[in-house]
Amino acid sequence: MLFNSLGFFVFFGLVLIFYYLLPLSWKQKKIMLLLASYIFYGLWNPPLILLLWISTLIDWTAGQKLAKVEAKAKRRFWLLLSMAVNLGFLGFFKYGNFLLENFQQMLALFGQDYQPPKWDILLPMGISFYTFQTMSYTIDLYKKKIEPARSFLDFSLYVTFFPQLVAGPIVRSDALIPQFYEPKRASESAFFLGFLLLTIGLFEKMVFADSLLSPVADAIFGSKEALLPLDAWTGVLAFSGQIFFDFAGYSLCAIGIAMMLGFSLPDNFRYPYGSIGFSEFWGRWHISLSSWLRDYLYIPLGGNRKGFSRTQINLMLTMLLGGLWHGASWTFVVWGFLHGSYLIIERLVRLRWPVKPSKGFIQVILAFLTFSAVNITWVFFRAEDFKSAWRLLLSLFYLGGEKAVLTSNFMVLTLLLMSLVFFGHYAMRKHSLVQLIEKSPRWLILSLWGIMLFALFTVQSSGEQFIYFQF
Amino acid sequence: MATLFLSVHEWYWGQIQHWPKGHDLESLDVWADQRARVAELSEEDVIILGSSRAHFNINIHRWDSLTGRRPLQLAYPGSSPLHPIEDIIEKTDFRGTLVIGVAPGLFYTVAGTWPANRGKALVDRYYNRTYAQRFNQWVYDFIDPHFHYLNQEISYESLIDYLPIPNRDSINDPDLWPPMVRMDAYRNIRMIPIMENDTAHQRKQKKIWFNPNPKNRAADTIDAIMNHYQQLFQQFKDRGGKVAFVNGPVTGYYLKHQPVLWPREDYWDRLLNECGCPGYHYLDHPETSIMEPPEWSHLNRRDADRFTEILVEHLREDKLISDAL
Repeated sequence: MLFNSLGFFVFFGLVLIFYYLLPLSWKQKKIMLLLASYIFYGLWNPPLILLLWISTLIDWTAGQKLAKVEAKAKRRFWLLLSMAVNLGFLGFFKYGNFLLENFQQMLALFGQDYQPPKWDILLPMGISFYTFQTMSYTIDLYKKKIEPARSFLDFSLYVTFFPQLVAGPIVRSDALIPQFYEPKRASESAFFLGFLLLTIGLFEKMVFADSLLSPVADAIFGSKEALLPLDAWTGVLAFSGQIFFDFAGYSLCAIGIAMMLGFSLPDNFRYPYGSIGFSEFWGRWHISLSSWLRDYLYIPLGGNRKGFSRTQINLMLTMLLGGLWHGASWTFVVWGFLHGSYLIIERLVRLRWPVKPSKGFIQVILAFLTFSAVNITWVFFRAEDFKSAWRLLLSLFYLGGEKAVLTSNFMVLTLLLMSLVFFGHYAMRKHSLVQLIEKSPRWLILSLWGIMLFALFTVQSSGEQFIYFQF
Repeated sequence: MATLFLSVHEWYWGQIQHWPKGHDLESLDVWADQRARVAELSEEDVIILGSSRAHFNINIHRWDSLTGRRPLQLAYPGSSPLHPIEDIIEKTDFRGTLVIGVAPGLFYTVAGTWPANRGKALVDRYYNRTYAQRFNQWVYDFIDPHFHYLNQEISYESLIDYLPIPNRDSINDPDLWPPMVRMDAYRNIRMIPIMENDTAHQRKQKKIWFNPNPKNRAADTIDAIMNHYQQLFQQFKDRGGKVAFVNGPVTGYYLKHQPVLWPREDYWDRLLNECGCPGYHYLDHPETSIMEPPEWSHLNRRDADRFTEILVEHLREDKLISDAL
C-alpha cells in the first residue's frame, strides 16, 4: 500500500480509530498494529508476507538463543543462521538473476556456452530494509550491545511496523523495540506535527518528485540520442531532486505517521544537498543506511584502525556494497565506486590541507562542487545501462549532442526548484525542519499547510511508486 | 484555507474551463474493473473493443435500452485493440460477440508500437494490479464522479504545459487537450456540450488531430497483421464466438487522408474477407455516411445514439446479437 493513495488514508483512518477510540488494552493495540502492518504489506502481494514471517521467526529464535547461550560456537551458529536466512532472501530475490547472468558471462569468457534457466523472480517490496533491520538486531545481540525484545509480539511489530516497513528508515532495535513496552499516545501537538510532516512528505513526493521532476528525468534518461548540455544537466538535476523528494518525502511520511501514533522514528535526511564534502553528504543522506553500513560493515572490516591503505580499502568496499544494496546491476556498483573515490580523495585533500574554510562564499562554492559531483554519480544510478550513462555523461560535458528534448516550462521550473533546493539545503545545514516549524509564526505554518493540502487534493499525480520501494 | 482554495479550484475547472465530472477517461483501473467482468458474461453478451471511435460512438446504455443487454465497453482511446483482443480470445472462454472498432491508424499495428503498447498496458494492469490498487480504485470510485478537478488531464504535470514560456525553435509546443467527454463507471462516453457546439473549442481539438505528414506505419507489415488477426478470430469463431467490425464516421482531415493511406479495398475489405466476419462501414449506410463528427473523428451525443441504433439493427439482422427476453 502506498502512502500517496486514497486507500492508505482509509486504512490509516481505521487504524487511528482502533488505536485511539476503541477501549483496547495496550497489548490489543499492538496486536492491531501488527495485523494492520501485515494488511499494509499483504495488499501488495499476500504470499510474500511469508518471507516476513520467516525472517521474524528465525531472528526471534536466534535472538532468544543469543541472549541465553554463552558458548562462543553456539552463539556464532545462531548469528550465522540469522545472517544466512536474511542474506539468503536478499541473494535469491534481489540478486538471483544478476548472479546467474554474471556467472553466464564469466563462463562465456572461458568459451563455455551456458544458458541459465529463466527465473521470473519477483522482488519483495522493502526486502532490503527489513532484512537489514532484523540483522542489526541479531548482530547487536551477538555483540551483547542490547537486550532481547521482551516478547514475540514486540519483536514482530519491530520487524513489521507499517510506517517504516517498506522503505525505512532502517531503525535499530534499541531505538524502536523499547517504545513498544509502554502504552503510547500522541499528544495533541505531536499528533498535528506528525500530520504536518506527513503532509510535507506527500507534498514533496507528489508535487515536486512526481509532477515536475519525474517527467523531466524520464525524458532525459529515456533519450536514445546525445543531448544538448542544458537539457542533459536539467535532466540530471531533475533526477537528483526526484530521488531526494521521493525518498526524503517517504521518510517524512513514515516519521509523521509514527508520530501520530505516539512513536518516534529517527531522521533519515538532513538537507544533504547543502553538504560541504562527501563525508558530510553521507552523514545527511539516507542516514539510517549509511550508519548501518558504518556500524555493521565498515567498522567490522577494520574501519580506520588498521592503517592508511586499509582504511581506504575499507571505505571503498563499504561504498561498493552500499551501491550494490541499491540494486542488482553494475551501474549501482559504479555509483558506489564514484562515492568511494570521492570519499578517499576528500580524505587525502583534508590530510594535505587540514584547514577548514571559514568564509561563507568559499563554503558555498565547496557545497556547490559537492552537489555537482554528487549529481554526476546519479547518472549511473538512474541510467538503464552503461551505454546510456556514457552518452549522458558526454552530453553533460559538451562532448557531442545537439538534441533538445525539454520544453521551456519544465526546464525553467526544474532549474528554479533545484536552485532553491541547493540554497535551501545550504541555509538549513545547521537547523532541523521540526525546529523551523516550532520557531515559525503559527499563521504562517497554517497557511503553508493549507496550501500544501490544497495542492495534494488537486495534484492528480500519476506516480504510483516510491523509487526506494524497489531497493 | 484548503477547502476554500479547493472550492475555487473546482468552480474554475468546472464552470470556466468546462471540465466534466466523471471517471478518468484514460484510467487503467476503470478499464481493468470492466475487464474483470468478462468472466460473468454469457454467449449472448457483447464486448466492444477498439480505440476512441468505438469508445465514443457507441452508447452502451442506449444499446441496453434497445436490447436489454449492456455491452462491456473495453475500447480505449489512442490504443490498438491488438493485445486486448489477444487477451479476450486466448485467456478467457468468452463465446459471445466481439464488436471491434477499426480506426485504421491504430487497428493495423504490430506489437511493440505505441498504439499496441497502450493496449498492452491495459492488459498488464488487469493481470498485475495489486489488492492495494484495487482497494484504492474502489475508494476512488466513490469520489471520482463528483468533482471536476479529479480529471487526470488537468493534473499538475499537465498544467505545467499551460505556462506561457516560449519554447526553443526545435521544440514543438505541447498539445493542450480541451475537455471533450464525460465517462461513467461503465466506461460509457458522452461528448460534452461545449465540444458539440463551440467551434473555437472544436478547433483546439482539430489542431491536435492535424498532422502535416500523416503516414501508414503498417504498410510493410500488413500481411503479417492480417494473418495474425485472421488466426485470432478463427480461433474465437471455432469456439462459437462471433465477430463484427465497425468503421465510424470521419470528416475533414481524416476523410481526406484515411482513404488514401488505407484504401478500403486493401484494408477494410481485405480484413472482412480474410477474417470471414461481417463489418459495418459508415459509408455503406445513408444515415451514417452524412454524420459529421464535430472535431473530425468522434460523434456528438445525438449522432452517437443514432449510430448505436443503426449498429444494433444491423447486428440483429445478421443474428450477431439477440435481445434479452
